[in-house]
Amino acid sequence: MITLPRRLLDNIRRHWQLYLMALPGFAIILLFNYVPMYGIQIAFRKYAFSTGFSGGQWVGWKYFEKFFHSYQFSSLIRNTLSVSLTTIIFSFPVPIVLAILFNKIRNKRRQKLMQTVVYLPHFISTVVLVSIMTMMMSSNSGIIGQWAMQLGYTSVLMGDPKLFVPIYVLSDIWQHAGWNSIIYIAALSSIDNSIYESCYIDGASTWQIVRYIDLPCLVPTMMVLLILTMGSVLGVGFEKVYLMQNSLNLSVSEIISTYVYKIGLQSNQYSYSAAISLFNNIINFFMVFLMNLIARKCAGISIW
Amino acid sequence: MKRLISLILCLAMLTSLSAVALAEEPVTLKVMFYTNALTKDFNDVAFIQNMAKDANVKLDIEQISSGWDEIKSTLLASGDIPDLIIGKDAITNSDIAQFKELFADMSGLIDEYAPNIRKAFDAHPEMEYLASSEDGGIYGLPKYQRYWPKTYLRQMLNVQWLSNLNLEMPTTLDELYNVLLAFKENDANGDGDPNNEIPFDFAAGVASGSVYQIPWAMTMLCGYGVPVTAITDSGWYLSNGEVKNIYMSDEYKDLIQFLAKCWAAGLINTEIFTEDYATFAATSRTGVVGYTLGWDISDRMGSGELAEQYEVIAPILPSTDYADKAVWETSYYTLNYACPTAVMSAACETKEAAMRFLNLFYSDTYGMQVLFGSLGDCIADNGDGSFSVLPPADSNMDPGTWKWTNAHADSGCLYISDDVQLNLPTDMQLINKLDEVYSPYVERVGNDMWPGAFLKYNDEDNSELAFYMTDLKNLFETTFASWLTVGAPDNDSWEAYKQSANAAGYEEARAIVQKAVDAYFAYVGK
Repeated sequence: MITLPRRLLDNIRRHWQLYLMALPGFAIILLFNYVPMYGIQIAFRKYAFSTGFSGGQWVGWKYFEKFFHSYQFSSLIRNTLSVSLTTIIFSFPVPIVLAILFNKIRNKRRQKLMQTVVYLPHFISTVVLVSIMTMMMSSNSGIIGQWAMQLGYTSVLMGDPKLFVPIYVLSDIWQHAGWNSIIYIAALSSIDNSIYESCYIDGASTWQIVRYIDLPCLVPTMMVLLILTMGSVLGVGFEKVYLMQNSLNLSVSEIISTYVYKIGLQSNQYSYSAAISLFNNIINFFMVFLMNLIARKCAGISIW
Repeated sequence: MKRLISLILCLAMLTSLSAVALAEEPVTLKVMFYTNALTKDFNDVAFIQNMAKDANVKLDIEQISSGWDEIKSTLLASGDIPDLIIGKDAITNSDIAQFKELFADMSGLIDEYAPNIRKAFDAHPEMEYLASSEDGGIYGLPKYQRYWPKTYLRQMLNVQWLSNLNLEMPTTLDELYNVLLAFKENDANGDGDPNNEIPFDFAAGVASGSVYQIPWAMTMLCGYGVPVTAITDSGWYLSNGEVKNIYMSDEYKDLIQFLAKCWAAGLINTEIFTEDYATFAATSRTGVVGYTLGWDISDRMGSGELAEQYEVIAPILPSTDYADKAVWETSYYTLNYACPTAVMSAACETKEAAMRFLNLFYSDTYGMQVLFGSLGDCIADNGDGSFSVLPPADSNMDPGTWKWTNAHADSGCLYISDDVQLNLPTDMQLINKLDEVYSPYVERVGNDMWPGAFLKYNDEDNSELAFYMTDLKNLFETTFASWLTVGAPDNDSWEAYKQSANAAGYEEARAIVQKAVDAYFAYVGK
């Protein structure tokens, strides 16, 4: 029998309604996030379906060493970091700018309309988006591909290793910036109107209002979101990269998650791919931890 | 009166009882068929019903033609599978390895109840090799369809363009280059636009979501005498019994120079790496492609007038010195054999009846009906011991569609013994006619025909091979693409490339494949 500390018991007794409300959330996290961790052990075992998770022979760090010594290890890490860091650096500021712009639209109906128009692309499925991109950039029939040809650009746009990251990041910004701006718009709308009014009375310009009122109010939201995105620095979305892959750009587009898919699911190497994913997640965890530490030290903002 | 009625009733009861005692009541088999979406309901297909009658079973048929993967995973996870699952690719070898306890070992049953299967195995020992698992058990039955061609890819050239431009049929790479260049620079198809011709188009690493095959242009290595097989993604081939890889061959180093020269001159479709297969297939049907590869002319050009402009051509030689060395692509084993095509549930209560039913798929009369459709509707008995596949009764259908509608066709569990005399449908005759061009070249391949379907690896080898091949494929794919588009390798970069392949485990992977090839030859050679 587990004995809970007396203070916690008192607390539960006093606020039992709140605990009851939180219970489903706890249950879901426990069931879907903690219980599956039982399966992590296959990263250290030679897994076979017939014997189950705990039945395989214990091989220790074998699969991790295999990955670190793997021929593609350095290029995988490099490609993953280049895709994810570029995405973070270039797509992080855009929603903030968008949110501030929307906030300046006086007519509420027009503001809502603009917002909806800008976040609609978020609902296009990745498969459709990549198909559209491929078609538009085809040098035989695509509009962008044809322009590029006119400008004397001879290589295949979707296949050029130099263009893979820019195309990935730009289309990502186009698709998600509107949606991501919602949280900033919410933060801006919580600013008391009297602050703006006193600014106008003091004769502040729009630029000054943005600089001294809007931006400082957004800093806490920005920091929290930045810490959370750092958590996925090695976990770039699989779908889009996989769909954009072709043999021309494979040298820059093979990232950890596509590699795990190829070796784990296509070639049935479950233990090896589990080891790679576990490594990936541990790195991500430390990145969140580190960013949180920096944010707390520098700005006094942290998520825990 | 009463007495009379009761007497009659008594008699009636007695007779029905004796009838039961005489003929064994047919047992019911739950059978799941995985079929093509075109295939008719098997409850209405004559040959299936006749088979049930002959085997004295009643069939409870469930026919699946879409969403199989989802159905399969729940089926296997639940552990409750029907008595028989029949269909190519329905249950795979890795499913059997993972859920071994669900499937019955048929090796003993075959000897006892399935003389036809035993006969098939004796006539074609490679079938038994294909079906046997590592522990010696037989958990899935193989198919052998005998008539399918030796070649998967054929190369075709637009001969009308040749005559429009007064050109000779090319036989060497240099001649081919000049022909392609002429296609590019002139208005070869005569539509008034000299810029819309694509001289050379091939599938190069079918884009994501499809089965990946080697870039089809690699079959041009056959001109050098390298026996390529196209239905594989990793490029292995045999040279006098030794396993080698096309990507590591000196012939490839030479061919890529030619291909890069073509690319630089704008002779190759620029979208080969980025388009999907549907776009690739559609492009050639618009009449803008000069030289290309594919299954046959109607598959690539449609069955209309455009197809008449094309001819299947012999392997292109690097130079005339290679005239008696050149071979052609072979995929015979992959096209004619598959395993497993039928599995039996370990929980089946009437294994004997199930085996009797499966046995019929390997008989002379039913094997061909599984492939082409019921006797009478789709196959005619010529009365002299030979049979003919009939043309489609529905004139709107081509022979291929007709076959897929009326039979389990290539997806079926079947065996066409070498004694069967069958006149093939027109589409197969056409393919065989096309292949006359290649038969002398295919002959030369001889024992080096790639035994793809028969290679078996144990767990350890399988995972090692997967590990090496993931890296090697990445290397092969990217270097092919970059050499083609940016420029062919010089000696230094070729050496560096070979070194990286060795670093990625090329020799280790080769040894594993060699072991599997040797095991197969040791078996069939005995």
